[in-house]
Amino acid sequence: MGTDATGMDIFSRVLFAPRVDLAIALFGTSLSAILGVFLGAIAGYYEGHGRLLGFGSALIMRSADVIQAFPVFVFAIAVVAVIGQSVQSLVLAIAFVNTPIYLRLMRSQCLSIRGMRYVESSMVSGTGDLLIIIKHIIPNSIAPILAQLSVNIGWAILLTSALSFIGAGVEAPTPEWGSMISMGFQNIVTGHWWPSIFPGLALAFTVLGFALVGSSVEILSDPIRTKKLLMSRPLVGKPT
Amino acid sequence: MRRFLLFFGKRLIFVFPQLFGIMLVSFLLLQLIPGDPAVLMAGPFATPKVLETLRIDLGLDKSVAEQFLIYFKNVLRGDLGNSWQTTRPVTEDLLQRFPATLELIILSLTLALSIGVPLGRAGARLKTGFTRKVADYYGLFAGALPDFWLALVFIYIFYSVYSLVPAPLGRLDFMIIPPQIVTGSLLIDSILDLNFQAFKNSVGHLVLPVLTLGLINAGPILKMTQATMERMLEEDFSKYAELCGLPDKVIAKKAFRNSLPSVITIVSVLFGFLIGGAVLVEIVFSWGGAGQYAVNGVLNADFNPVLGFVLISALFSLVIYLIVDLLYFYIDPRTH
Repeated sequence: MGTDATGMDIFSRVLFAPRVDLAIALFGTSLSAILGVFLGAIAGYYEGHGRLLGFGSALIMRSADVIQAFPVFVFAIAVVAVIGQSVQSLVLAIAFVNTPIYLRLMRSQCLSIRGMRYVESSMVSGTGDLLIIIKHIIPNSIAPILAQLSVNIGWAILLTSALSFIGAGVEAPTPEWGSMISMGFQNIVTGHWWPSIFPGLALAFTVLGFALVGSSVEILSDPIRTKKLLMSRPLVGKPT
Repeated sequence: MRRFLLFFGKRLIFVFPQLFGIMLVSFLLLQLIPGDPAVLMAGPFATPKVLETLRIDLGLDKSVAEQFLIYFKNVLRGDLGNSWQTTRPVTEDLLQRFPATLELIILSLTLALSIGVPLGRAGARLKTGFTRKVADYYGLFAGALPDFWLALVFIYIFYSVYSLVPAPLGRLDFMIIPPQIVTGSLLIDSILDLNFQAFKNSVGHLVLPVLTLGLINAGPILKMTQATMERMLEEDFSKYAELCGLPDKVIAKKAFRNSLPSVITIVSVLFGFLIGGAVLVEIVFSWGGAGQYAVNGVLNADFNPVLGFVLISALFSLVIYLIVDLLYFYIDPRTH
């Protein structure tokens, strides 16, 4: 694959980059999923409750509204700017931007599960709120969360590389796809395509892979669709 | 009509508290960014005394609450403060840059719609076959491609190798006389000015960024159209129409009519996202758009442009959501 303008080998850098990219994306999205599931379960479970708990639930949802009102990219840059440019702050930025997505998903799941018979009977027999959330609500709503998680890791990789591309992410000597693309950016006009094209391809295929995993998880979590899939010739990654 | 006005009025009431909330939060968030504007403005060799007077000039010696109050009053008068980078009022800067971004986004979304909707419609109607495959794979690939990378690929192919388009620097070549600014959109302005050289040149500059953003954003539109349309084709009204012996074309038309709301929703979401999200493509093409201005602001501790940008893009998003709600009202008879 040749070398870039400073003489660094592109192939080995493309291979090494996922260590940084994937780690940031995995940690960031896992953190946001944990936070989002926890907060979403509370917001959903206590929605419509009186006094403090109901107020807390409303407060969580309105804060999510405010976070989502900001342009995602500018918001992520601002978060990185606030806590300083480092791998940890990228993780936090990704966690921050993605938490509302899980929060909303978990809340809507929680609202529908809360009305189920087994939850109601559990409430009647005096099980504590926390135990119901942990025992019934979270395990029963985990499938869509997992599907979302997989798609989101792809997005997070895109976001990490985009931040690095404009110089607010991983800094230059560390191999990272986005910063590699930006290093080749100046030279592409003169016809030196290889420093930018290869990291971009690696990036695209990685994100595609996670998207495929996500759509498979979604299909497998639905027994009817799994059966359909097994009966017919599988349609690759049927988007939903 | 009265109902419509009532609906419109009710929706409008919510816009103001939302805007206030966004203003407050963005103001507080930016307070947290380290970096003293006074130091950055005066340079590293400024004496403490100069810094002190500058701080008083900028109002940085006041409390945060006071600063916000002053800011709020100024915004109500349409004054978003000055940017120390361009040393111009932010309102002026944004008025110059937002049309550039909007022109780009509107054209890109038009392209995305004209790819995504027909392909999604076709994909939903067919269960197998080549078109269905194209639709399925397109939806997957478009979401995986980084737009700034695709832009570079296009520059390489269409500029470096075949030289079909002008150099990817800005919205107009340096030699071309720009048209009189009326709307801020170069296309419209150059037609109004009868400056066809500028029109041709700005079209050339628009092709690649619009192609990049259009192709990528066609993905979500396609997926949404296909998914909703498939659901609509399984609904009872479609089955009934089929049993009555209506031709496929008519059934598809009815089903599409009923999936319009979700198509409109995804377009509005994409629009809101692109106001800030088009920044990467703007940077690649040195577009000089609003997103680029905001990003430079964050990176250089220049707060006013960022606040102004967030505020105006939030305003745009809210206006778009308002229009969307009105469109729902128009297409969905149940809301009457």
